[in-house]
Amino acid sequence: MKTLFSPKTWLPAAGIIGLVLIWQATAWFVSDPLFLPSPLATTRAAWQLLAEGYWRDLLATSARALSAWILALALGVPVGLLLGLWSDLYDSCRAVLAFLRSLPSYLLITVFVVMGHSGEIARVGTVMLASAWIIADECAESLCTLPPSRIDVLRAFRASSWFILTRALVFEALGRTIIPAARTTIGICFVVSTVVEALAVPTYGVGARLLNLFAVANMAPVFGFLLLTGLMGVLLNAIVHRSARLLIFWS
Amino acid sequence: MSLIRVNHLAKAFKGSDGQVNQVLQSVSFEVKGPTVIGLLGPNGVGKSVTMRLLAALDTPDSGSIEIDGEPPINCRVGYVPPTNPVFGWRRTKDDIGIGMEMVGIPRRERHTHVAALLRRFSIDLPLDQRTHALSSGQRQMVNLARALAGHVPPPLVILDEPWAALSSAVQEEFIRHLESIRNTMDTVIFLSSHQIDSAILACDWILPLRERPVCITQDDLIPVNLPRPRPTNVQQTVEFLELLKHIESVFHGSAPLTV
Repeated sequence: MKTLFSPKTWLPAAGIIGLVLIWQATAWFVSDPLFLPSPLATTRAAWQLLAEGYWRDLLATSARALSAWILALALGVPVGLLLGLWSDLYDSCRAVLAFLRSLPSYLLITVFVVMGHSGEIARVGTVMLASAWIIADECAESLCTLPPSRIDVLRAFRASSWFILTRALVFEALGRTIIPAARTTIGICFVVSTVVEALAVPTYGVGARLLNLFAVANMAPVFGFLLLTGLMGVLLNAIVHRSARLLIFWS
Repeated sequence: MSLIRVNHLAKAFKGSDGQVNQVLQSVSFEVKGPTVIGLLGPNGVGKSVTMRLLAALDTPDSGSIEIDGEPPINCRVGYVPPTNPVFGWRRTKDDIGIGMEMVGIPRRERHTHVAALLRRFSIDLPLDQRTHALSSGQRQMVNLARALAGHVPPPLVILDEPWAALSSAVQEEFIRHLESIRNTMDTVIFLSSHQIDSAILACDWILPLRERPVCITQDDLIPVNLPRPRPTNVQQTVEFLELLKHIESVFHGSAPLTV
């Protein structure tokens, strides 16, 4: 049982504490503080960044990633359902999906820019396409490998295909796709958001701030920037995963 | 009175190596409701294949099935697969009532009917709870109730390995519910098992599936001539033990069953 004093409670923190200790020791004994700032110096630099308004960039990137992810679900799940229901269609689209999944999606920003959208539509659209195909593919695959028992119950009742789709298959697909896909695709959305922001620079965004960091003379602000961005990514991941677990409670 | 007629049913499957695996050679029998028939046999002999054919979830290679003179595809069948599935996103009352929802019965009426059905058979379930949170015993009760729910009871209910995942106490409770259903509803209930004693307790007839390919005629049906309702000490009676011995002898030489 997990209690306040049991090792299980403290084990997740052990890795972080270990890393910080190694980092601190390396910063003290081995490295030049200019190139490897101590954890304390990094925390100070991170605090300074927040005070200078970096929190706005973090929030803007997170909002961009989250809205793109929700749009990716809205596109990916219906497409995945369609492909999963008609296995011939899915088989004929597998190569296309493999291509789309493998394409570095931030390159698609060029398509949006040429089409005349260089603003938020281009950024969110590009990030959405980074994960929509993954969600569609996972959703289709989950339907193809679905254990037929619940469907069989309805088929024995002589339910129509529409009834089976709307009362069972949609829920099955959501349950089997969203939770596993949430962890990977929200991370992808966050990463691609920062890349896209560096290419099509918005007023606020982690990627937009990245360019400023090339001009700094020491590593403390860079480490502070990395620390805050990483923590935001972890927080976003946790929020999405928890929310998905609450919404898709039957998974 | 429900009448199930099975004539020379045959089914084979092609393996990945291209070899034809004949599961059912010729299965013929006729049963009238209300009754409980137990398909008894070792794992992989063809119990589930027979069950799925009866539910018209698969089509036979040859032969026919009639439910009250109709092909099974025209009849609503209560089917409970061996995996004990629930529609976990639904509340218990909506999960049980899904078959009624299918035919357009309004929500309030469905809930009233489900509550009445559970009261009738003394099945205690949390009606407002989502079914994904239920125990395996409660899930199996949901499955049983769902198979039966409807203004007209289904002529055929199929329970594939209904107590495979149940503890012995829940299994006993399940068999008691089956008995009261059998006594009050005009339904033919088929169940599959590899537990001889439980099958004797629950069933009126035992259909022994010894080995592949399965050949069954009306004469192979073994009647369970034990009083209904089953007395609490029925398992200690001479009749029960003799029947147990007889069924064991039928399976002598085939894969082992559990008692």
